[in-house]
Amino acid sequence: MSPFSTLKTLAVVLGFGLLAGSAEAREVRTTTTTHVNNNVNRNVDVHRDIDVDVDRNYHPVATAAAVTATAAAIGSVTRSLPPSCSTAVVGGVTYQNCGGTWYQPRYSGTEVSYLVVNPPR
Amino acid sequence: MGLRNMGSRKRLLSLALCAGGLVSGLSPALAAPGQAAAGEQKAPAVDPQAIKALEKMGGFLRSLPAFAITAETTTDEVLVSGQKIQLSSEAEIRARRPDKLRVDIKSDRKQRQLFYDGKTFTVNGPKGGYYASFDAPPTLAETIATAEHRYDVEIPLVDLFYWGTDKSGIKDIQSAIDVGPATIDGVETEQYAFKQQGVDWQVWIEKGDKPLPRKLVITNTQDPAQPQHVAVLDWNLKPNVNNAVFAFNPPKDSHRIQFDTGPSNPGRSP
Repeated sequence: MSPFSTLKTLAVVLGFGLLAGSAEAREVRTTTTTHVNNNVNRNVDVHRDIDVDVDRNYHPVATAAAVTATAAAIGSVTRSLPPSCSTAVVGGVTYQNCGGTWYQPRYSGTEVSYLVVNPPR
Repeated sequence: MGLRNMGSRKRLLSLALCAGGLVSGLSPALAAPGQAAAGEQKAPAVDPQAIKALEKMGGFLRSLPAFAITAETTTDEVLVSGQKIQLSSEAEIRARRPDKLRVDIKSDRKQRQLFYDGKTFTVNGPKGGYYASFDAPPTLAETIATAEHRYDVEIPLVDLFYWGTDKSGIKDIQSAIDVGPATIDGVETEQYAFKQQGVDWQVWIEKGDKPLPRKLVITNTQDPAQPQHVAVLDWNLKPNVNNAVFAFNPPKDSHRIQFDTGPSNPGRSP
């Protein structure tokens, strides 16, 4: 077993726990307020990885582990996909098929998030 | 002569000593309460001139039939450790009253486009190839409120659309001071600083007959790390605002997706 697959296995067992060192070091607790008007009520208490609000992923290892840990749960939401996904449009809805796990991309504000769904028929 | 001189010198010396004693002995006692009042215990009062300057700026913004801004921004994110990470971005905002908006956000990390053509509001991610749209209200003000509140879409420099309206938030200001003159990108401005609940902020307003905000600094005072958002604004008051600027045509190979309507965003779906 290569060190990498050992890591991956551990990641599955422990979820984010294994990555606590690196993941926690990268976790954003607050994104700053960008407005002064109180009619705007954005959530600045975000608690997410520094790297999620991006067009591409700079840290594929951490991403792959995180996705592996949550992939099984239909209905869960992730902000990044594992590598090697293909776009599929079924019944007018856009999906990403990543090795048999199906994700439905959505916009949460201007951030893309992915809902894990049952394979479409 | 010599004695007299000596005498006057002595008097001067004793005067100087006396004054020195006053300065060194008394002034700390006098200054301390003043410093505390200005610093921690009580925020300085609201300078009505600073509020007037904000209102004048707001009124001028409302009077513009169209405008284009290029804003260079930096935004701090605070890690769990308290470490601050600064992210840079550029936002180009084009607006035409009463019902057109186009925003292009570019950074090393992300590109997004926002389109409002009077009927539809669209978020487009040119790199990811996804876009999402909603049927929009008929005015800029309503559409911005809907985008922010119902769809969590962050409009850069959204305050520009609230200043000068009854939602300006001026009533929330607890302290306002005129810092003084400053030059931003060669433009003469006056710098003002404000305090309100959870936020300290500063604005540099252009002097003369175009009181435009040239720079904005917003400090989040709720997090002990005090992250900041800084924007320097370059204005064009005679921009190209043809309808085509605000119309979204899905690029080839792009896909329409939905906005997240999960339960974590109450009030979002009907």
